[in-house]
Amino acid sequence: MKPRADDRAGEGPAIALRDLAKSYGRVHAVRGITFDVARGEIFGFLGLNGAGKTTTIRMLVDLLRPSRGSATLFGIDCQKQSRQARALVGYMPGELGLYSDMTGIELLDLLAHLSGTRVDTAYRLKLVDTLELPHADLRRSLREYSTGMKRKLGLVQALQADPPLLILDEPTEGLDPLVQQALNEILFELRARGRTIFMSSHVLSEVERLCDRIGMIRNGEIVLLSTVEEARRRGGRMVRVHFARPVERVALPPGMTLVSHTPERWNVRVEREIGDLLPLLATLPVRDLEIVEPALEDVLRSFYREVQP
Amino acid sequence: MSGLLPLVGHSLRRRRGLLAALSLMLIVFQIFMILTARNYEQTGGFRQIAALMPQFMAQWTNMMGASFTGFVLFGYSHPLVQLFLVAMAISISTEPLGEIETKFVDLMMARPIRRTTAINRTLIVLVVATVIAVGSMLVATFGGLRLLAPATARPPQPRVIVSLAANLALLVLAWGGIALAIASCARRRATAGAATGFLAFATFVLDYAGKFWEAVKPISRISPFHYFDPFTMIGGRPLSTTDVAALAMMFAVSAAIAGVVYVWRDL
Repeated sequence: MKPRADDRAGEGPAIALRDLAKSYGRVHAVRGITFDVARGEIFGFLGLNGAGKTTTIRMLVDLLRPSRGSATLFGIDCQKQSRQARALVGYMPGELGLYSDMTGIELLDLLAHLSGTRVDTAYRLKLVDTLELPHADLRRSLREYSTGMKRKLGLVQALQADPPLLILDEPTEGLDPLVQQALNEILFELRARGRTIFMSSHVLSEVERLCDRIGMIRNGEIVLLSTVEEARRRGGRMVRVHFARPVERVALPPGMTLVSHTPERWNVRVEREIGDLLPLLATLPVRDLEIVEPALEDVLRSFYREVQP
Repeated sequence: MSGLLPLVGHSLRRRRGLLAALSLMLIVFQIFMILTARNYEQTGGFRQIAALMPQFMAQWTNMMGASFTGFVLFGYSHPLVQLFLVAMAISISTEPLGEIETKFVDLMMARPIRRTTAINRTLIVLVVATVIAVGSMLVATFGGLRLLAPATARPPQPRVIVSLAANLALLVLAWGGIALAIASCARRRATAGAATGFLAFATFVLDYAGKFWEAVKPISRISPFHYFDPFTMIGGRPLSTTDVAALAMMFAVSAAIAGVVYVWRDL
Protein backbone atom coordinates (compact mmCIF):
# COMPACT_ATOMS: atom_id res chain seq x y z
CA MET A 1 0.00 0.00 0.00
CA LYS A 2 1.27 3.46 -0.86
CA PRO A 3 2.08 5.76 2.08
CA ARG A 4 -0.56 8.28 3.05
CA ALA A 5 0.10 11.80 1.90
CA ASP A 6 0.65 13.21 5.39
CA ASP A 7 3.45 10.70 6.01
CA ARG A 8 5.32 12.39 3.19
CA ALA A 9 4.86 15.96 4.41
CA GLY A 10 8.22 17.58 5.07
CA GLU A 11 9.26 20.29 7.50
CA GLY A 12 8.17 23.91 7.56
CA PRO A 13 4.85 25.67 7.51
CA ALA A 14 1.99 24.20 5.53
CA ILE A 15 2.30 27.03 3.01
CA ALA A 16 5.15 29.50 2.64
CA LEU A 17 5.05 32.16 -0.06
CA ARG A 18 8.16 34.26 -0.65
CA ASP A 19 7.95 37.26 -2.96
CA LEU A 20 5.58 35.29 -5.16
CA ALA A 21 4.60 37.23 -8.27
CA LYS A 22 2.77 36.58 -11.50
CA SER A 23 2.63 38.95 -14.44
CA TYR A 24 0.96 38.68 -17.81
CA GLY A 25 2.90 41.17 -19.89
CA ARG A 26 2.26 44.53 -18.28
CA VAL A 27 -0.54 43.20 -16.10
CA HIS A 28 0.69 42.32 -12.60
CA ALA A 29 -1.82 39.83 -11.21
CA VAL A 30 0.20 39.07 -8.06
CA ARG A 31 2.94 41.48 -6.94
CA GLY A 32 5.45 39.69 -4.78
CA ILE A 33 3.46 38.41 -1.82
CA THR A 34 5.04 36.85 1.26
CA PHE A 35 3.28 35.03 4.06
CA ASP A 36 3.05 31.67 5.83
CA VAL A 37 0.15 29.45 6.72
CA ALA A 38 0.82 27.38 9.81
CA ARG A 39 0.06 23.69 10.01
CA GLY A 40 -3.32 22.88 11.39
CA GLU A 41 -4.95 26.26 10.90
CA ILE A 42 -7.82 27.45 8.77
CA PHE A 43 -6.59 30.38 6.76
CA GLY A 44 -8.99 32.65 4.93
CA PHE A 45 -7.65 34.28 1.79
CA LEU A 46 -9.78 37.30 1.03
CA GLY A 47 -10.06 39.75 -1.76
CA LEU A 48 -12.39 41.22 -4.30
CA ASN A 49 -12.84 39.61 -7.70
CA GLY A 50 -9.66 40.00 -9.73
CA ALA A 51 -7.53 40.76 -6.68
CA GLY A 52 -5.22 37.78 -7.32
CA LYS A 53 -6.68 35.06 -5.10
CA THR A 54 -7.18 32.41 -7.76
CA THR A 55 -3.88 33.25 -9.48
CA THR A 56 -2.07 32.68 -6.18
CA ILE A 57 -3.91 29.43 -5.57
CA ARG A 58 -3.21 28.15 -9.07
CA MET A 59 0.50 28.85 -8.54
CA LEU A 60 0.37 26.74 -5.36
CA VAL A 61 -0.80 23.71 -7.34
CA ASP A 62 1.63 24.46 -10.18
CA LEU A 63 -1.02 25.19 -12.78
CA LEU A 64 0.56 28.62 -13.23
CA ARG A 65 4.27 29.29 -13.19
CA PRO A 66 5.34 32.28 -11.06
CA SER A 67 7.13 35.20 -12.71
CA ARG A 68 9.32 35.41 -9.60
CA GLY A 69 9.52 34.19 -6.04
CA SER A 70 8.68 30.80 -4.63
CA ALA A 71 5.99 28.83 -2.90
CA THR A 72 6.47 25.77 -0.72
CA LEU A 73 4.03 23.32 0.80
CA PHE A 74 5.37 21.67 3.97
CA GLY A 75 8.83 22.76 2.84
CA ILE A 76 8.45 21.21 -0.62
CA ASP A 77 8.87 23.59 -3.53
CA CYS A 78 5.65 23.87 -5.56
CA GLN A 79 7.50 24.19 -8.84
CA LYS A 80 10.78 22.33 -8.45
CA GLN A 81 9.22 19.36 -6.63
CA SER A 82 5.78 19.90 -8.00
CA ARG A 83 4.53 16.31 -7.90
CA GLN A 84 5.62 15.76 -4.31
CA ALA A 85 3.97 19.02 -3.31
CA ARG A 86 0.73 18.26 -5.15
CA ALA A 87 0.58 14.83 -3.48
CA LEU A 88 -0.11 16.68 -0.23
CA VAL A 89 -2.99 18.76 -1.54
CA GLY A 90 -6.71 18.37 -1.99
CA TYR A 91 -7.77 21.15 -4.32
CA MET A 92 -11.18 22.46 -5.14
CA PRO A 93 -11.07 25.01 -7.97
CA GLY A 94 -13.39 27.96 -8.00
CA GLU A 95 -14.59 27.04 -11.45
CA LEU A 96 -15.28 23.33 -11.83
CA GLY A 97 -14.60 22.02 -15.32
CA LEU A 98 -16.54 18.77 -15.50
CA TYR A 99 -17.26 16.50 -18.43
CA SER A 100 -21.00 16.29 -18.64
CA ASP A 101 -20.93 12.76 -20.07
CA MET A 102 -19.31 11.35 -16.93
CA THR A 103 -21.20 10.22 -13.86
CA GLY A 104 -20.35 11.55 -10.41
CA ILE A 105 -18.82 8.27 -9.30
CA GLU A 106 -16.75 7.99 -12.50
CA LEU A 107 -15.28 11.41 -11.82
CA LEU A 108 -14.52 10.60 -8.19
CA ASP A 109 -12.92 7.28 -9.17
CA LEU A 110 -10.82 8.85 -11.92
CA LEU A 111 -9.54 11.61 -9.63
CA ALA A 112 -8.94 9.10 -6.84
CA HIS A 113 -6.74 7.08 -9.19
CA LEU A 114 -4.82 10.21 -10.10
CA SER A 115 -4.32 11.17 -6.44
CA GLY A 116 -1.67 8.52 -5.99
CA THR A 117 -2.91 7.63 -2.51
CA ARG A 118 -5.47 5.11 -1.38
CA VAL A 119 -8.93 6.59 -1.05
CA ASP A 120 -10.96 5.17 1.80
CA THR A 121 -14.36 4.41 0.29
CA ALA A 122 -16.05 4.58 3.68
CA TYR A 123 -14.65 8.08 4.26
CA ARG A 124 -15.77 9.16 0.80
CA LEU A 125 -19.29 7.89 1.47
CA LYS A 126 -19.31 9.69 4.82
CA LEU A 127 -18.45 12.93 3.01
CA VAL A 128 -21.13 12.29 0.42
CA ASP A 129 -23.69 11.75 3.19
CA THR A 130 -22.59 14.77 5.22
CA LEU A 131 -22.82 17.01 2.18
CA GLU A 132 -26.25 15.57 1.40
CA LEU A 133 -25.37 14.24 -2.01
CA PRO A 134 -27.72 11.27 -2.56
CA HIS A 135 -25.88 8.06 -3.46
CA ALA A 136 -28.21 7.50 -6.43
CA ASP A 137 -27.15 10.84 -7.86
CA LEU A 138 -23.55 9.67 -8.05
CA ARG A 139 -24.66 7.25 -10.79
CA ARG A 140 -26.26 10.04 -12.79
CA SER A 141 -24.60 11.89 -15.61
CA LEU A 142 -23.06 15.22 -14.59
CA ARG A 143 -25.18 17.01 -17.18
CA GLU A 144 -28.13 16.36 -14.86
CA TYR A 145 -26.39 17.92 -11.87
CA SER A 146 -27.43 21.29 -10.50
CA THR A 147 -24.78 23.89 -9.66
CA GLY A 148 -25.03 23.01 -5.97
CA MET A 149 -24.60 19.29 -6.66
CA LYS A 150 -21.53 19.98 -8.78
CA ARG A 151 -20.04 22.06 -5.96
CA LYS A 152 -20.70 19.24 -3.50
CA LEU A 153 -18.99 16.79 -5.86
CA GLY A 154 -16.10 19.24 -6.14
CA LEU A 155 -15.75 19.22 -2.37
CA VAL A 156 -15.87 15.43 -2.15
CA GLN A 157 -13.14 15.04 -4.79
CA ALA A 158 -10.92 17.49 -2.88
CA LEU A 159 -11.49 15.84 0.49
CA GLN A 160 -11.74 12.16 -0.42
CA ALA A 161 -8.00 11.37 -0.18
CA ASP A 162 -7.88 13.07 3.28
CA PRO A 163 -4.79 15.13 2.37
CA PRO A 164 -2.81 17.14 4.93
CA LEU A 165 -3.55 20.40 3.09
CA LEU A 166 -6.82 21.50 1.54
CA ILE A 167 -6.85 24.39 -0.89
CA LEU A 168 -10.42 25.46 -1.48
CA ASP A 169 -11.29 28.27 -3.86
CA GLU A 170 -14.66 29.74 -2.85
CA PRO A 171 -15.82 26.45 -1.28
CA THR A 172 -19.30 27.56 -0.18
CA GLU A 173 -20.24 29.26 -3.44
CA GLY A 174 -23.55 27.79 -4.64
CA LEU A 175 -24.23 25.78 -1.47
CA ASP A 176 -27.42 26.16 0.53
CA PRO A 177 -27.10 27.26 4.19
CA LEU A 178 -27.60 23.76 5.59
CA VAL A 179 -24.84 22.30 3.44
CA GLN A 180 -22.63 25.29 4.26
CA GLN A 181 -23.11 24.42 7.92
CA ALA A 182 -22.27 20.78 7.20
CA LEU A 183 -19.12 21.86 5.38
CA ASN A 184 -18.11 24.06 8.31
CA GLU A 185 -18.39 21.05 10.60
CA ILE A 186 -16.27 18.95 8.25
CA LEU A 187 -13.61 21.67 8.16
CA PHE A 188 -13.57 22.01 11.96
CA GLU A 189 -13.22 18.26 12.27
CA LEU A 190 -10.34 18.27 9.78
CA ARG A 191 -8.59 21.04 11.70
CA ALA A 192 -9.02 19.05 14.89
CA ARG A 193 -7.20 16.19 13.14
CA GLY A 194 -4.32 18.51 12.24
CA ARG A 195 -5.23 19.18 8.64
CA THR A 196 -4.50 22.63 7.22
CA ILE A 197 -7.15 24.48 5.26
CA PHE A 198 -6.40 27.36 2.94
CA MET A 199 -9.63 28.80 1.58
CA SER A 200 -10.41 31.79 -0.50
CA SER A 201 -13.67 33.57 -0.02
CA HIS A 202 -15.38 36.88 -0.25
CA VAL A 203 -18.17 35.85 2.13
CA LEU A 204 -16.94 37.70 5.20
CA SER A 205 -19.36 36.13 7.69
CA GLU A 206 -18.13 32.70 6.62
CA VAL A 207 -14.50 33.72 7.11
CA GLU A 208 -15.31 35.12 10.54
CA ARG A 209 -17.00 31.88 11.55
CA LEU A 210 -14.38 29.51 10.18
CA CYS A 211 -10.94 31.00 10.03
CA ASP A 212 -8.15 31.30 12.56
CA ARG A 213 -6.21 33.75 10.44
CA ILE A 214 -6.88 35.82 7.40
CA GLY A 215 -4.90 37.40 4.62
CA MET A 216 -6.35 40.00 2.34
CA ILE A 217 -5.06 40.56 -1.16
CA ARG A 218 -5.78 43.76 -3.02
CA ASN A 219 -4.47 44.54 -6.50
CA GLY A 220 -2.07 41.61 -6.16
CA GLU A 221 -0.61 42.78 -2.82
CA ILE A 222 -1.20 41.55 0.70
CA VAL A 223 -2.77 44.40 2.63
CA LEU A 224 -3.81 42.57 5.78
CA LEU A 225 -2.41 39.54 7.52
CA SER A 226 -3.63 38.81 11.01
CA THR A 227 -5.71 36.61 13.24
CA VAL A 228 -9.44 37.13 13.02
CA GLU A 229 -9.33 38.60 16.56
CA GLU A 230 -6.64 41.12 15.67
CA ALA A 231 -8.48 42.16 12.56
CA ARG A 232 -11.66 42.62 14.51
CA ARG A 233 -9.83 44.75 17.09
CA ARG A 234 -8.58 47.05 14.37
CA GLY A 235 -12.11 48.24 13.92
CA GLY A 236 -12.34 49.46 17.52
CA ARG A 237 -15.32 48.85 19.77
CA MET A 238 -18.43 50.92 19.51
CA VAL A 239 -19.79 52.39 22.74
CA ARG A 240 -23.39 53.58 22.69
CA VAL A 241 -24.12 56.03 25.47
CA HIS A 242 -27.77 56.77 26.32
CA PHE A 243 -28.38 59.91 28.37
CA ALA A 244 -31.15 60.59 30.88
CA ARG A 245 -31.49 64.12 29.49
CA PRO A 246 -30.06 65.97 26.47
CA VAL A 247 -26.36 66.81 26.63
CA GLU A 248 -24.12 69.08 24.60
CA ARG A 249 -21.30 67.62 22.53
CA VAL A 250 -17.94 67.70 24.35
CA ALA A 251 -14.34 66.88 23.37
CA LEU A 252 -13.46 63.18 23.69
CA PRO A 253 -10.15 61.74 24.96
CA PRO A 254 -7.55 60.71 22.32
CA GLY A 255 -8.27 57.44 20.49
CA MET A 256 -12.01 57.99 20.61
CA THR A 257 -14.23 59.24 17.82
CA LEU A 258 -17.79 60.42 18.00
CA VAL A 259 -19.22 58.56 15.03
CA SER A 260 -22.76 59.88 15.37
CA HIS A 261 -24.70 61.69 18.03
CA THR A 262 -28.02 63.11 19.11
CA PRO A 263 -28.62 65.04 22.38
CA GLU A 264 -29.87 61.77 23.94
CA ARG A 265 -27.41 59.30 22.42
CA TRP A 266 -23.75 59.14 21.34
CA ASN A 267 -22.04 56.46 19.27
CA VAL A 268 -18.36 56.51 20.18
CA ARG A 269 -15.68 54.39 18.48
CA VAL A 270 -13.08 53.41 21.05
CA GLU A 271 -9.76 52.26 19.66
CA ARG A 272 -8.05 52.18 23.07
CA GLU A 273 -9.08 51.14 26.59
CA ILE A 274 -12.70 51.94 27.45
CA GLY A 275 -11.50 53.02 30.89
CA ASP A 276 -10.22 56.26 29.32
CA LEU A 277 -13.82 57.16 28.52
CA LEU A 278 -15.25 56.53 31.97
CA PRO A 279 -14.03 59.75 33.74
CA LEU A 280 -15.79 61.82 31.09
CA LEU A 281 -18.99 59.78 31.31
CA ALA A 282 -19.01 60.17 35.10
CA THR A 283 -19.61 63.90 34.59
CA LEU A 284 -22.60 63.29 32.31
CA PRO A 285 -26.16 62.07 33.02
CA VAL A 286 -25.63 58.56 31.63
CA ARG A 287 -28.73 56.35 31.68
CA ASP A 288 -27.29 53.29 29.93
CA LEU A 289 -24.10 52.03 28.27
CA GLU A 290 -23.89 49.54 25.42
CA ILE A 291 -20.56 48.13 24.24
CA VAL A 292 -20.75 46.63 20.76
CA GLU A 293 -17.94 44.35 19.63
CA PRO A 294 -16.87 45.25 16.08
CA ALA A 295 -17.88 42.89 13.30
CA LEU A 296 -15.04 41.59 11.18
CA GLU A 297 -17.11 42.41 8.13
CA ASP A 298 -16.99 46.11 8.95
CA VAL A 299 -13.22 46.05 9.32
CA LEU A 300 -12.66 44.12 6.13
CA ARG A 301 -15.04 46.29 4.20
CA SER A 302 -12.90 49.24 5.11
CA PHE A 303 -9.93 47.45 3.51
CA TYR A 304 -12.02 46.69 0.46
CA ARG A 305 -13.16 50.30 0.23
CA GLU A 306 -9.61 51.62 0.15
CA VAL A 307 -9.28 50.06 -3.25
CA GLN A 308 -12.14 52.04 -4.68
CA PRO A 309 -11.09 55.19 -6.58
CA MET B 1 3.68 6.17 -15.40
CA SER B 2 1.39 7.13 -12.51
CA GLY B 3 -1.98 8.26 -13.76
CA LEU B 4 -1.35 7.33 -17.40
CA LEU B 5 -3.61 4.29 -17.63
CA PRO B 6 -6.64 5.91 -15.92
CA LEU B 7 -6.30 8.90 -18.22
CA VAL B 8 -6.00 6.74 -21.35
CA GLY B 9 -9.04 4.73 -20.26
CA HIS B 10 -10.99 7.90 -19.51
CA SER B 11 -10.12 9.46 -22.85
CA LEU B 12 -10.94 6.33 -24.86
CA ARG B 13 -14.23 5.87 -22.99
CA ARG B 14 -15.23 9.42 -23.86
CA ARG B 15 -14.41 8.85 -27.53
CA ARG B 16 -15.81 5.39 -27.99
CA GLY B 17 -18.97 6.65 -29.73
CA LEU B 18 -17.09 8.88 -32.15
CA LEU B 19 -14.53 6.18 -32.84
CA ALA B 20 -17.22 3.56 -33.44
CA ALA B 21 -19.11 5.88 -35.80
CA LEU B 22 -15.96 6.76 -37.76
CA SER B 23 -14.88 3.12 -38.02
CA LEU B 24 -18.35 2.09 -39.17
CA MET B 25 -18.34 4.83 -41.79
CA LEU B 26 -14.92 3.75 -43.07
CA ILE B 27 -16.05 0.11 -43.21
CA VAL B 28 -19.17 1.07 -45.16
CA PHE B 29 -17.06 3.19 -47.51
CA GLN B 30 -14.63 0.34 -48.23
CA ILE B 31 -17.51 -2.08 -48.86
CA PHE B 32 -19.15 0.51 -51.12
CA MET B 33 -15.92 0.84 -53.13
CA ILE B 34 -15.71 -2.97 -53.54
CA LEU B 35 -19.36 -3.22 -54.56
CA THR B 36 -18.95 -0.40 -57.11
CA ALA B 37 -15.76 -1.97 -58.46
CA ARG B 38 -17.56 -5.31 -58.77
CA ASN B 39 -20.33 -3.62 -60.69
CA TYR B 40 -17.86 -1.97 -63.12
CA GLU B 41 -15.97 -5.22 -63.48
CA GLN B 42 -19.13 -7.13 -64.35
CA THR B 43 -20.50 -4.48 -66.75
CA GLY B 44 -17.22 -3.56 -68.46
CA GLY B 45 -17.27 -0.10 -66.92
CA PHE B 46 -13.50 -0.02 -66.36
CA ARG B 47 -12.87 -0.12 -70.13
CA GLN B 48 -15.06 2.97 -70.56
CA ILE B 49 -13.30 4.76 -67.70
CA ALA B 50 -9.89 3.94 -69.20
CA ALA B 51 -10.99 5.29 -72.57
CA LEU B 52 -12.28 8.53 -71.05
CA MET B 53 -9.38 9.17 -68.66
CA PRO B 54 -7.06 12.05 -69.75
CA GLN B 55 -3.43 11.10 -70.38
CA PHE B 56 -1.97 13.10 -67.43
CA MET B 57 -4.49 11.60 -65.06
CA ALA B 58 -3.78 8.10 -66.26
CA GLN B 59 -0.03 8.64 -65.73
CA TRP B 60 -0.44 10.20 -62.31
CA THR B 61 -2.86 7.61 -60.96
CA ASN B 62 -1.35 4.58 -62.66
CA MET B 63 -4.79 4.04 -64.22
CA MET B 64 -6.00 3.61 -60.67
CA GLY B 65 -9.65 4.25 -61.38
CA ALA B 66 -9.67 1.99 -64.42
CA SER B 67 -9.08 -1.39 -62.78
CA PHE B 68 -10.73 -3.45 -60.07
CA THR B 69 -7.58 -3.31 -57.94
CA GLY B 70 -7.08 0.42 -58.36
CA PHE B 71 -10.69 1.24 -57.67
CA VAL B 72 -10.81 -0.84 -54.49
CA LEU B 73 -7.61 0.73 -53.21
CA PHE B 74 -8.87 4.21 -54.04
CA GLY B 75 -10.67 3.81 -50.70
CA TYR B 76 -7.30 4.38 -49.00
CA SER B 77 -6.39 7.55 -50.83
CA HIS B 78 -9.79 9.18 -51.28
CA PRO B 79 -9.64 12.79 -50.03
CA LEU B 80 -12.76 12.21 -47.90
CA VAL B 81 -11.11 9.31 -46.09
CA GLN B 82 -8.01 11.39 -45.47
CA LEU B 83 -10.18 14.30 -44.34
CA PHE B 84 -12.09 12.24 -41.78
CA LEU B 85 -8.97 10.58 -40.43
CA VAL B 86 -7.07 13.86 -40.14
CA ALA B 87 -10.11 15.44 -38.46
CA MET B 88 -10.13 12.57 -35.96
CA ALA B 89 -6.43 13.13 -35.28
CA ILE B 90 -7.00 16.85 -34.73
CA SER B 91 -9.92 16.18 -32.40
CA ILE B 92 -7.86 13.77 -30.28
CA SER B 93 -4.69 15.85 -30.27
CA THR B 94 -6.36 19.05 -29.14
CA GLU B 95 -7.76 17.28 -26.06
CA PRO B 96 -5.08 18.66 -23.67
CA LEU B 97 -5.95 22.18 -24.80
CA GLY B 98 -9.64 21.41 -24.42
CA GLU B 99 -8.95 20.37 -20.83
CA ILE B 100 -7.24 23.69 -20.20
CA GLU B 101 -10.10 25.61 -21.75
CA THR B 102 -12.83 23.77 -19.85
CA LYS B 103 -10.76 23.91 -16.61
CA PHE B 104 -10.85 20.13 -16.23
CA VAL B 105 -7.08 20.50 -16.08
CA ASP B 106 -7.49 22.08 -12.62
CA LEU B 107 -8.91 18.83 -11.29
CA MET B 108 -6.50 16.63 -13.23
CA MET B 109 -3.17 18.41 -12.90
CA ALA B 110 -3.64 19.39 -9.25
CA ARG B 111 -2.99 15.69 -8.66
CA PRO B 112 0.57 14.34 -8.41
CA ILE B 113 0.93 13.45 -12.07
CA ARG B 114 3.57 14.70 -14.49
CA ARG B 115 2.51 17.14 -17.15
CA THR B 116 4.06 14.86 -19.76
CA THR B 117 1.53 12.24 -18.68
CA ALA B 118 -1.24 14.30 -20.27
CA ILE B 119 0.71 14.46 -23.54
CA ASN B 120 1.67 10.77 -23.44
CA ARG B 121 -1.97 9.93 -22.79
CA THR B 122 -2.98 11.81 -25.92
CA LEU B 123 -0.28 10.15 -28.01
CA ILE B 124 -1.40 6.70 -26.86
CA VAL B 125 -5.06 7.50 -27.57
CA LEU B 126 -4.07 8.85 -30.98
CA VAL B 127 -2.18 5.65 -31.85
CA VAL B 128 -4.99 3.42 -30.56
CA ALA B 129 -7.67 5.38 -32.43
CA THR B 130 -5.63 5.36 -35.65
CA VAL B 131 -5.04 1.62 -35.39
CA ILE B 132 -8.76 1.03 -34.79
CA ALA B 133 -9.87 3.29 -37.66
CA VAL B 134 -7.34 2.05 -40.22
CA GLY B 135 -7.67 -1.50 -38.91
CA SER B 136 -11.43 -1.30 -39.58
CA MET B 137 -10.66 -0.31 -43.17
CA LEU B 138 -8.33 -3.30 -43.52
CA VAL B 139 -10.91 -5.70 -42.09
CA ALA B 140 -13.56 -4.28 -44.42
CA THR B 141 -11.27 -4.55 -47.45
CA PHE B 142 -10.13 -8.11 -46.79
CA GLY B 143 -13.62 -9.24 -45.76
CA GLY B 144 -15.27 -7.46 -48.68
CA LEU B 145 -12.83 -8.88 -51.21
CA ARG B 146 -13.35 -12.38 -49.87
CA LEU B 147 -17.13 -12.14 -50.01
CA LEU B 148 -17.85 -9.74 -52.86
CA ALA B 149 -15.01 -9.82 -55.39
CA PRO B 150 -16.10 -11.28 -58.75
CA ALA B 151 -14.24 -14.36 -59.95
CA THR B 152 -13.00 -12.53 -63.06
CA ALA B 153 -11.40 -9.68 -61.10
CA ARG B 154 -7.76 -9.65 -60.05
CA PRO B 155 -7.86 -8.58 -56.39
CA PRO B 156 -5.14 -6.32 -54.97
CA GLN B 157 -2.22 -8.03 -53.31
CA PRO B 158 -2.46 -8.15 -49.49
CA ARG B 159 1.04 -6.64 -49.26
CA VAL B 160 -0.10 -3.57 -51.18
CA ILE B 161 -3.24 -3.18 -49.07
CA VAL B 162 -1.29 -3.41 -45.81
CA SER B 163 1.40 -1.03 -47.09
CA LEU B 164 -1.20 1.54 -48.07
CA ALA B 165 -2.93 1.22 -44.71
CA ALA B 166 0.38 1.57 -42.85
CA ASN B 167 1.37 4.65 -44.86
CA LEU B 168 -2.08 6.18 -44.30
CA ALA B 169 -1.86 5.47 -40.57
CA LEU B 170 1.53 7.17 -40.41
CA LEU B 171 0.12 10.19 -42.23
CA VAL B 172 -2.70 10.40 -39.66
CA LEU B 173 -0.22 10.12 -36.80
CA ALA B 174 1.95 12.85 -38.32
CA TRP B 175 -1.06 15.17 -38.46
CA GLY B 176 -1.96 14.19 -34.91
CA GLY B 177 1.52 15.17 -33.77
CA ILE B 178 1.34 18.49 -35.64
CA ALA B 179 -2.09 19.23 -34.13
CA LEU B 180 -0.74 18.41 -30.66
CA ALA B 181 2.21 20.78 -31.13
CA ILE B 182 -0.06 23.58 -32.34
CA ALA B 183 -2.53 22.94 -29.51
CA SER B 184 0.24 23.06 -26.93
CA CYS B 185 1.10 26.58 -28.04
CA ALA B 186 -2.49 27.83 -28.38
CA ARG B 187 -5.01 29.17 -25.89
CA ARG B 188 -8.23 28.05 -27.57
CA ARG B 189 -9.07 24.59 -28.86
CA ALA B 190 -11.12 25.96 -31.73
CA THR B 191 -8.20 28.14 -32.82
CA ALA B 192 -5.77 25.22 -32.71
CA GLY B 193 -8.20 22.94 -34.56
CA ALA B 194 -8.92 25.52 -37.23
CA ALA B 195 -5.22 26.37 -37.68
CA THR B 196 -4.31 22.70 -38.08
CA GLY B 197 -7.24 22.12 -40.42
CA PHE B 198 -6.22 25.06 -42.56
CA LEU B 199 -2.60 23.87 -42.59
CA ALA B 200 -3.74 20.39 -43.64
CA PHE B 201 -5.81 21.84 -46.48
CA ALA B 202 -3.00 24.16 -47.61
CA THR B 203 -0.38 21.40 -47.58
CA PHE B 204 -2.77 19.03 -49.37
CA VAL B 205 -3.15 21.60 -52.16
CA LEU B 206 0.59 22.25 -52.12
CA ASP B 207 1.35 18.55 -52.56
CA TYR B 208 -1.22 18.31 -55.33
CA ALA B 209 0.26 21.34 -57.09
CA GLY B 210 3.76 19.88 -56.68
CA LYS B 211 2.78 16.86 -58.76
CA PHE B 212 1.97 18.97 -61.81
CA TRP B 213 4.03 22.13 -61.37
CA GLU B 214 7.80 21.76 -61.34
CA ALA B 215 8.37 25.12 -59.62
CA VAL B 216 6.32 24.02 -56.60
CA LYS B 217 7.74 20.51 -56.41
CA PRO B 218 10.69 21.30 -54.06
CA ILE B 219 8.44 23.19 -51.64
CA SER B 220 5.84 20.43 -51.66
CA ARG B 221 8.30 18.29 -49.71
CA ILE B 222 7.29 20.13 -46.55
CA SER B 223 3.78 18.73 -46.90
CA PRO B 224 3.09 15.53 -44.93
CA PHE B 225 0.87 14.46 -47.84
CA HIS B 226 3.99 14.37 -50.02
CA TYR B 227 5.01 11.24 -48.13
CA PHE B 228 1.80 9.37 -48.88
CA ASP B 229 1.78 8.45 -52.55
CA PRO B 230 -0.84 5.71 -52.95
CA PHE B 231 -0.81 5.74 -56.75
CA THR B 232 2.80 4.59 -57.09
CA MET B 233 2.23 2.00 -54.38
CA ILE B 234 -0.73 0.62 -56.28
CA GLY B 235 1.50 0.54 -59.30
CA GLY B 236 3.80 -1.84 -57.48
CA ARG B 237 6.28 0.31 -55.56
CA PRO B 238 6.83 -1.06 -52.04
CA LEU B 239 6.31 1.10 -48.98
CA SER B 240 9.05 3.72 -49.13
CA THR B 241 11.37 3.86 -46.17
CA THR B 242 11.90 7.57 -46.93
CA ASP B 243 8.16 8.20 -46.64
CA VAL B 244 7.93 6.15 -43.43
CA ALA B 245 10.94 7.91 -41.93
CA ALA B 246 9.68 11.37 -42.92
CA LEU B 247 6.22 10.84 -41.42
CA ALA B 248 7.62 9.15 -38.31
CA MET B 249 10.04 12.06 -37.90
CA MET B 250 7.23 14.60 -38.21
CA PHE B 251 5.23 12.72 -35.59
CA ALA B 252 8.17 12.40 -33.21
CA VAL B 253 9.43 15.97 -33.56
CA SER B 254 6.00 17.57 -33.21
CA ALA B 255 5.14 15.33 -30.23
CA ALA B 256 8.43 16.33 -28.58
CA ILE B 257 7.72 20.02 -29.19
CA ALA B 258 4.24 19.54 -27.72
CA GLY B 259 5.69 17.87 -24.63
CA VAL B 260 8.27 20.61 -24.02
CA VAL B 261 5.77 23.45 -24.50
CA TYR B 262 3.10 21.79 -22.34
CA VAL B 263 5.57 21.24 -19.51
CA TRP B 264 6.54 24.92 -19.43
CA ARG B 265 3.29 26.70 -20.18
CA ASP B 266 0.65 28.03 -17.80
CA LEU B 267 -2.35 25.74 -17.68
